[in-house]
Amino acid sequence: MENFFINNYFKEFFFHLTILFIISISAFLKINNYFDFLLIASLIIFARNKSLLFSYYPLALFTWGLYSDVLIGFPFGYSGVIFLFFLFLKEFATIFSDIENIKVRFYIYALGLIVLLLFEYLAISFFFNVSLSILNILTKYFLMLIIFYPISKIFMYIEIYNEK
Amino acid sequence: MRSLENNSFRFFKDSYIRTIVITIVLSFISLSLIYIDSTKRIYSDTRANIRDIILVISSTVATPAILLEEGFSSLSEINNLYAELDEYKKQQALSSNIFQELSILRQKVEVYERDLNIIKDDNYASIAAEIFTDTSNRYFSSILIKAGSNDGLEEDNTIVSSKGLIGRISEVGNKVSRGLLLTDISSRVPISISNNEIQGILIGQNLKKPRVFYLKDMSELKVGDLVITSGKGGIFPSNIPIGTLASKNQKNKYIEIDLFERVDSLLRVRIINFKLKKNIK
Repeated sequence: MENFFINNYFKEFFFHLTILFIISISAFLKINNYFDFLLIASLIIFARNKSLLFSYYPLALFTWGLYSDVLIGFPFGYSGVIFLFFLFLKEFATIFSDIENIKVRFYIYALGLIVLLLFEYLAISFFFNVSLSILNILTKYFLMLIIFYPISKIFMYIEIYNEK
Repeated sequence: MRSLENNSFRFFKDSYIRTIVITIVLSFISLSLIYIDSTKRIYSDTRANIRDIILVISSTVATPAILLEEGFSSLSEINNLYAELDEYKKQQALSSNIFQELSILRQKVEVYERDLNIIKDDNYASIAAEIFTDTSNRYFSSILIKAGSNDGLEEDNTIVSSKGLIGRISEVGNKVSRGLLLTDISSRVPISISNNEIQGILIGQNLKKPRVFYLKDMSELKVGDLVITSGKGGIFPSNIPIGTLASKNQKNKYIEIDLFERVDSLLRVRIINFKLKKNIK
């Protein structure tokens, strides 16, 4: 039983269950306007080391994206592109550092958030002709930077504990 | 041994590159889907059909969180109960006077309408429905309503509460429909500001206070003016209260609106079939 919980397959199942849980509660739970569940799911995707699904992993995230879009009411592909962006960022980060080097990963993650912020802001201005409150968006993103360390530490612990 | 290492390295490298390539391809597919969805809305039916199944899964998975939230909200409701009771007693004393005034006004309006031979257009079929959940997230504000095509709902039906306009139906499923709120960034409502009848377009900003743009003249407007639907465009009926003018921005030529209704405190809404005037079951 103990082996089962540190088994890679269980970890894979647990990861997808976590993503499903986060997407689901985003539709039913309202904490405040600054707590963005989509960004939390993205952070988990970024913090995770590797998947057993290998090349099918992006496809799985794309599917979770569609699931989230249907449930929350985002335009089709919106959540998927955010999930895939953070997966790409994670793969990019592995060139420069391993999972234990949190500092480098933090800088890459912060850079990714800035790119996402600019991209979203421009896309919303272009498609909807609406100027969003930058302060609100920055608060959301800043909150993500605060929870980056604890979440990364948890995933680092899970990965290393499993390999020992 | 070295050959084995080389092979495994090649495998890792290949797998790594393959993952990157698939990620990039899927990202482009996602961006194309966003573009198509935001310009043509061709997936509306597919989305509504899949959503009914997804809702069952999600509400099951999220049960612990829902129970926890309900527990916390019950505690805060108990906390507010005494204050609300006092407020209710005051309201009750006022409401008997207001009711009498309204009855007199209604009689007067009926007489004027009959004298002027005005075509009545305010008798719309409507149903009351429970709010399933508030799915407002990021830049998009919507609610799921426990009513659908089985109850006669159609896209663009108007959603109101006892206080005023809330939004419109954007997706219709068999049993559950999505309502687009006034605060959503894609929401556009033609409005009229009372007394002066100055018209504009109410645009959601993902903030509590949506803004009105395209106003011809702002000089006569003042804080507290009543904002109602103008009925232009044919989606919303006219004269539905929305809110009051909260502030003016002369530089950027817009005004902010204090909405009458806060969706997070609502349990039920009324859905008006204005567009086609069919009988809702």
